[in-house]
Amino acid sequence: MASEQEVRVILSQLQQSEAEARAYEQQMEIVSFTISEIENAVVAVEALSKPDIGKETLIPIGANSFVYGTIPQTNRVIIGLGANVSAEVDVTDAVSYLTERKKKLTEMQGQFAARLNQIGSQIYSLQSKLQTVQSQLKATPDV
Amino acid sequence: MSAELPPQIQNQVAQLQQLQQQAQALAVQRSQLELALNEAKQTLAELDKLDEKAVIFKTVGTILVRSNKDQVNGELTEKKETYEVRLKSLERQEERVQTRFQQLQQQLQKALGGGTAPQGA
Repeated sequence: MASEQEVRVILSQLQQSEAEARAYEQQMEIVSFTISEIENAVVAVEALSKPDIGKETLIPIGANSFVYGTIPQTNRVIIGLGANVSAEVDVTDAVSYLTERKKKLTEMQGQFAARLNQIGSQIYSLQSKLQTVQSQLKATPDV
Repeated sequence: MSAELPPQIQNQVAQLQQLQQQAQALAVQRSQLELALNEAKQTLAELDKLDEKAVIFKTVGTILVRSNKDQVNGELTEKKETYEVRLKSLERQEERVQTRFQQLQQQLQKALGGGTAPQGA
């Protein structure tokens, strides 16, 4: 028999699932942003290492403004390893490190998407359960 | 509804809510510590792949300061150990809060004559 208590339980489960879904969506946005940053970094590292690229560059200072700068070394790159530590590596190592990181993040993105999908189904089934219980409640005359 | 409850029960409900908040705060702290610990472990593993003479930098504020593999390795290992100790201590704290929550929940259920008390710390 449907009861107010049952409605409260379903609503609370629904809120939990929705909060979980929002958290996963946020995580996925961060991961997507990081992947696109990595892709940009790979493009930059590869382009700078080509001999026909000049060493004179424009350095962004914000607000779409730049100052002139030169890159004395284009064959060495400083990459962040995490925990506030960075290391100098050659272009090949930098590209392979970044590619590996992108691969891990892409896997993570897939896992998040799968989980989000599951939560979506949970939300859908909870919503239909809620509708059923609510219509049963409406149909039941007050005792 | 709480106005109908005896003061002692109201007090227990308040304690239960406090414990729930405490447990949530501890869970957030634990998750942050776990993240930091994992990052330290991964960085140590990456450092391990590098040559002994590799050029290493540490981020200090907004700038990168030159360092060396040994020094960074030592500092990071120390950090990792600190995180592990803090994590263990947090886990113990969480267990204590959880146990206290369950005790209080049972007491409340008894007092309310087998009714349902708030769920989960």
